[in-house]
Amino acid sequence: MKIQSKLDIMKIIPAILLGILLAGKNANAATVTLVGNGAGGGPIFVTSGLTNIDLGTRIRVGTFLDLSALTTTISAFKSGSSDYSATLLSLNNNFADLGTNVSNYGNVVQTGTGVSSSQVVFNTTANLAINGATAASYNVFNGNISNVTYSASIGASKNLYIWTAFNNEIAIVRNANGTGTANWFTPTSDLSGVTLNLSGLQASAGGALETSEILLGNTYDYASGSDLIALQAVPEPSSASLLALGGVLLVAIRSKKKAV
Amino acid sequence: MKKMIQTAIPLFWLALSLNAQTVSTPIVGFEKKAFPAGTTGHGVGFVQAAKYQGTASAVSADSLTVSGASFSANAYAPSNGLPSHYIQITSGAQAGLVVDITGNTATQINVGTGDLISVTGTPSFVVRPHVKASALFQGNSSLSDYTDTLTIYNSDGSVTNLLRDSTSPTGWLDSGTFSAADSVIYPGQGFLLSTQGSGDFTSTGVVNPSPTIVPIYSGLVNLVSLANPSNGRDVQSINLGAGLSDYVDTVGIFSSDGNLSQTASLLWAGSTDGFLDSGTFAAATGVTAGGTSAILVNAGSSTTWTQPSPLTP
Repeated sequence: MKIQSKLDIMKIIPAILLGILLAGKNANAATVTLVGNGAGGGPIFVTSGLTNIDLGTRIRVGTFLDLSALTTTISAFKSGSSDYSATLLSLNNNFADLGTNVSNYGNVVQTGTGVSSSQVVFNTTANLAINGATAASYNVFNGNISNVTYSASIGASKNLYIWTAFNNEIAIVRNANGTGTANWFTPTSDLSGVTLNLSGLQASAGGALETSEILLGNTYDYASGSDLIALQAVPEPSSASLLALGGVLLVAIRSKKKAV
Repeated sequence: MKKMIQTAIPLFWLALSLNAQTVSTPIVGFEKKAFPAGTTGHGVGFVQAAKYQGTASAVSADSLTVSGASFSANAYAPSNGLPSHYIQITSGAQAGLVVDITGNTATQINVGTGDLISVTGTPSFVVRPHVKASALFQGNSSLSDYTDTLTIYNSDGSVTNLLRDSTSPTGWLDSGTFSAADSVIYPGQGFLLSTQGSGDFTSTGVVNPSPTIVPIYSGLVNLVSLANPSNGRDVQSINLGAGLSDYVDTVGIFSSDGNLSQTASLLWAGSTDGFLDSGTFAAATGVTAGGTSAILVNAGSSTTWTQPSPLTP
């Protein structure tokens, strides 16, 4: 546009100022909806022993800042070279949470046990029939994170992750490929909400769990009822490594005896 | 004038109640809608009077033929780069489908490639002029030049942002190029108004006696409206969930205070449970979708909303 006169400038400036004003108001905040209660045929989280995770346990919703560091952290935990505390520290330092009750990052809306406006938790129970068993009560989570402004928090087009840690065990999931349900990416518009339903980890409604989307955790893919995503613990030392350790100790003892 | 407005609306509703079951002539009306300063979401409650209504003698994927008709050539063709008229199918399985007209001969109306592919048989239809931003705000004195904007989210993911300039031929400028611009507001489509001060705008036309099929696009901002010149209806009873995915797709109802915050965020839980509050997962009760307020739909898969006619009880 060619600015021809002072009048033109005087017309444009208020428009720009209003634009800045409206941008500052963050009027277009969105809602991130969380479905982790088996609804819609989705899987649920359980411990490695397939028991309930306590109500009130925190669920982390947000994005990892450094995916390379995430891969390293997960590998180290799986191999046992990093223990639970070190892994948690590494994950925490690499993660931007939504639902922290900070402006633009959203406020958690849940009802049930241990709920808070600043963190998502396992908040309720669901009666689920799993793998043909009689329906039983499972601790699950649902709710939403309201007033999220992606552009002013974690950014647009960011892959959203859900992870949790309980009793020295961890699970991390995402829906990056968008099969089954739409992928879990922050929309490009601050007006658009996004739903994180664990059913998005299945290739189709009620279908097979996609192991590529479960970065940490063990899957139990059943023919009927909800599937299970079990938290993963730091692996116990294997028998081979124990034998090797034993051999080293034996050699050390013999060497010591000879020396005496 | 104010008195006339206050009396005209009840007269409209009297006519509506008398004719709701056996409507044979268009019900004419108008709605003066107030908005506060800030950002608000709106829709249009009326459609323009039909230019033609009849029954097709043949339908292809790209055209509709009416044997014996005598349309003026390209009377319904686009103008100034925007579609000027649309077809709305009013019978059959696709009753409610809205399709832009790309041109016409004396007996044939052409549409975009494949736009009528889902229509079978020889349905009845109407031809109506589009409602445009230029007409909806023509002569409006409550908007501020070079400060107030109108935003429309398009089906291709683009966003039309118009800046008010009452001296422009259309009353609006493209906020990027500052050249005169306009935009169609489709039946059932919503739009955002961002204004420095409070004001109002008046929608006039006829009540659409047909259902309207509103497209919902995966991954895009779907700002829709009930397009009903009434106080609105319970969100559970407007057929909005029928095409949505269970426990995935959500609907947001906006505040009308200028902050565009969501007064209700709803999760579709299937036809048995309907909409749930997405925070508490309790059944959403007493949530009203305003007649001409914008509703936000987030869908994981593209679908449609067959919204009931305002005349549906």
